[in-house]
Amino acid sequence: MHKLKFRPIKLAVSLFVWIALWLFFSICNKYHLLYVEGTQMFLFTKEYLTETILHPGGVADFISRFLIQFYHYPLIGGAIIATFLIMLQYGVEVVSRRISGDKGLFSFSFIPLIFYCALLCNENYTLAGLIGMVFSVWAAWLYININSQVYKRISALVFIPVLWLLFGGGVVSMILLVVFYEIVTIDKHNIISLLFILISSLAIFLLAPMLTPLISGTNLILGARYFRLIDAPLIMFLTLWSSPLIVVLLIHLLPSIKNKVIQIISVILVLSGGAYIVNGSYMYLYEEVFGYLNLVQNRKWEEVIEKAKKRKPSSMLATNCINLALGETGQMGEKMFDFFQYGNSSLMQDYKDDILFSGEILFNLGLINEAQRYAYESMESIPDQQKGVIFVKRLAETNLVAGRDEVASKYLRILGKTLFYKQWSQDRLKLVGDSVLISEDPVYGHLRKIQPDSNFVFMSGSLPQMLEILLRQHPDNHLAYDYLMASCLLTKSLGIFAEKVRISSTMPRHYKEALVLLSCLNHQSPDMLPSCVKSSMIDDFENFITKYNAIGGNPAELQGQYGKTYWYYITYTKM
Amino acid sequence: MKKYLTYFLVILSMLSCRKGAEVCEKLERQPSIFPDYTEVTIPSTIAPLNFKSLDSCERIEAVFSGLSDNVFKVSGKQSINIPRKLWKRMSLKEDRMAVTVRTLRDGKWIEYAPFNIYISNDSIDKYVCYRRLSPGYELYSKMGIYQRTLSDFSEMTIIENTLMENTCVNCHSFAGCDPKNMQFHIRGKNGGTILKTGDAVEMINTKADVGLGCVYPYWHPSGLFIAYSVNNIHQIFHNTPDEILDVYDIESSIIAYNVKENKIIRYPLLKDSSKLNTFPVFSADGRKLYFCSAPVQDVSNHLKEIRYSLYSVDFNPENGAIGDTISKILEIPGYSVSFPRPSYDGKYIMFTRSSYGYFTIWHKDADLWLLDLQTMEARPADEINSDDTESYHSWSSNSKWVVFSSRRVDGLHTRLFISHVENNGKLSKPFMLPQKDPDYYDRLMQSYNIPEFIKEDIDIPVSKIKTPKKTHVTLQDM
Repeated sequence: MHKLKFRPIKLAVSLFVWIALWLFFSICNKYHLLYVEGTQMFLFTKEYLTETILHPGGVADFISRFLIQFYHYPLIGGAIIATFLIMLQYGVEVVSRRISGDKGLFSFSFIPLIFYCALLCNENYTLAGLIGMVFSVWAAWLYININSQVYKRISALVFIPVLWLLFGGGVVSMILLVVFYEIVTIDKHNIISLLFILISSLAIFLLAPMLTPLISGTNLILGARYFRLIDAPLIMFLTLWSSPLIVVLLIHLLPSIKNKVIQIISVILVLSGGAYIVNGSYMYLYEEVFGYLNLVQNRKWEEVIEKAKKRKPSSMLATNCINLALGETGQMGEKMFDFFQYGNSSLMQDYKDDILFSGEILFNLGLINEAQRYAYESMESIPDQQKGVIFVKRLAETNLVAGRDEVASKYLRILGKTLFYKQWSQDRLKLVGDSVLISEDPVYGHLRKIQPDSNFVFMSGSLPQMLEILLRQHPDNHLAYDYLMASCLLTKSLGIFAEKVRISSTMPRHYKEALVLLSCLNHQSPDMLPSCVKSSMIDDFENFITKYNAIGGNPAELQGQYGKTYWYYITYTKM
Repeated sequence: MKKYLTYFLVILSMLSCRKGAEVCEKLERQPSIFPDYTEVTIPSTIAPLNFKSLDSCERIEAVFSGLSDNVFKVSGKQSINIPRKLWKRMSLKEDRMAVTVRTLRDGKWIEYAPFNIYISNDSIDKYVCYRRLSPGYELYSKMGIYQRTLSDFSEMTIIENTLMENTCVNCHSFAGCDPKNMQFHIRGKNGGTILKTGDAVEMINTKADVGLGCVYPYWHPSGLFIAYSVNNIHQIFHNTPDEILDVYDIESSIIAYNVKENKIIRYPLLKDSSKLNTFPVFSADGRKLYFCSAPVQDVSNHLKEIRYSLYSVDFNPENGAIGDTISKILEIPGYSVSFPRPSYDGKYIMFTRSSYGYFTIWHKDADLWLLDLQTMEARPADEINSDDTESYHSWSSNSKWVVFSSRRVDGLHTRLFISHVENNGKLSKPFMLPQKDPDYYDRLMQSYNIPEFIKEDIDIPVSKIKTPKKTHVTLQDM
């Protein structure tokens, strides 16, 4: 058996890459990691263990899910991913060195790492696939380091099916590497070893359907959940699994590079190319919306608003979160048009378009049953059929608020079997069945108070009507009131707005702007406006009209001064 | 240090209790255990009734004693896991066992008043088949149809939706508890109804072939016909804590499938645009077709006024024809009758009564009732009902046991309960389907659905479900 030789410079490069990967995943993909962690629920129970592990690739799934729970702290999550990626790179490097010697092409060993790193920017590619590939490449290294032909053949027979059973389809990487190794070192012994590898590989394909008759197609080949969606891209995985072989083959075929400068340049080139590829795969839009989702779920309303102020949000879902945060902090009527609004969908998407973010809005509006439905449907939509911590937490909350104590306790007890939500569940278990404690809770107490008293059928496409029902039952539901007003403003339904708006001395800016506009449209005297509307605002509006007429309606001219007014929205935003 | 001292004191007190005064305190009440197996009646072949104490304790022990000298003791930390051999020895020999539970709390052994477990001589079918799925709304993740052996804890998967992802499997049904004749639906792309008759497995797609999507099935005792309802189903969502959702039909009718001739028989008499006809079931002798029917209502305003009654029509088992007259069998004013299930001995029909509609699993007021077919009197099955939902139910092949689903444990997740039917029609206190680990139900986030007793093992190879022979059906009006 050859010993692993660690070269300080190569180690230093790997360490540098590890740090870069760690920072990339833990900072740039922070909310991706939190989302992935939230959409699984690793339980310390024997059922969870058996359910996860008892299928081909189950060990990879189990290790992956065990480690993913630590994404709860993105700095640890980033370190985990970076470590496995470097293990993959180093595995490819040592296999290549063992087959072809040190040819100065160390940089090539980063190629599979770059490939997988780019894929991991998509939350549907799981850690299980990376784990499977890492074990596979290192198993190949172990295999080619066995000197005895007998042991080699035995290990070919054992390693391949066992690896497939434990880690899934990633074993293809090992098969390809060891076949290549046997071919390049061919003699009569190798032919027999090749035969053993072939038999062992075929055995998987023959035995697999018998072992797991309830899994078929690509999922059977993958074994483990390398990809969370139903239709795993098999071609992508085949390419991925072949990448260590391609690298080893390239290094074997290319001439050696002795010149250290060229070696360093090649490392810089490969890593720069890698950075370019990974940057291309980086999904900022997703990271942004996952960020907003996480902040909303944790009720960090000010942070939501700050985030939006720092960088203009680029999606409707982000706008939904901003509006919710504005509503929760009582700033909706004051600052809503400080941010770009898309129309009525800026408040909440239709059921068919989104249930994840809308669930948060419904929960805070006091539509507890609907929030529960959206959370349940979101959980049932998790493509790899896992349960998600974020959804189970919400289900516990909705049942707690609704007074369905037994179910709430059940969910809380289940959360008590997790590592990071134990305390959260224990804190809430104290509230179960204690109406006094619940009423004192700032969130649950308020939500219980504003729950609908009499039944009505919910229709997601009729939000204003739903809000009106909520307000009829609980006029003190301030969020519902602000949402109703905002809905009138966004849909430009000024008549309904005027009918529903509550006149008060603390009336927010946008409501006053709408009243001024309406008064103008109805050719009413400004004297008819409520006293809270200052003359300066009327002057401002007249100035807006004058400028609008003067510039022939060019929005850019008005944006600086009026871009954050309702007048600007109603004039320039198309429905 | 304090912890170790506590342990030491606990051990010391245990030893003092065990050796000297066996029990430090005796209570007159029976223990609070989960599942509640106190005073239940069980078949002699049932798996051990493992349970846990609901009162907090450091240790628990239970002494099981029969009428003879048959006694054994089991102890555990929180739960009692009864060795199968000991359990079997007692359950097969005795007709009653007394269980004395003791718990160790704060270093003291507390003994509760003993409770009885009655053992019936009436046999029970070997298995119960059910679907397990999340109690959700419209979307579903993992679900499957499973076969549970009643004499132990083993569960076999018949089909899971991992086989054909993004599908829903439902409505498994057998001809009189005999899995030789079985059917279930696979919904979704490439779906249809899987039909097993003897060793043959085929798939029919009535919707594609004759434009009628079959929903609720019931096999004729001969295994030659399956009655189906054809329902146009809708769902709505409520918004108060006590009401979650409702499922209703805007139209429904009844048809039958001739298994041998691959023909859908359409009955104009049972397709009435002013009526919602559903849940067809055959009488034990196969000469009557019972069904539920309600007048069509404007759902937007009168959902809670849709109330079904029980009707019957003659059925000719020779050719599948029905009679000309529909008879009203049972109407409960102000209530709805659904899920009629005739006992196989022809004595009773068990049904679900709720204040309206038929999708009773979401109705907290839903209870099971029993209609005596000799006296035609219906009574609530109070012996087995709870304050929460009782819904789907079915009879054992000898009609001595019923298995039913109930949400009594936590109000959401449906669990299975089995009750003994005495000769006078009285039902025993039901027992929850036992599990090896009593905490299993607490961790399970799925519901049990459509429990059906079956006499034999379901022998349906997965390969045949994956690639079934596709059979085309034709249409016949009768």
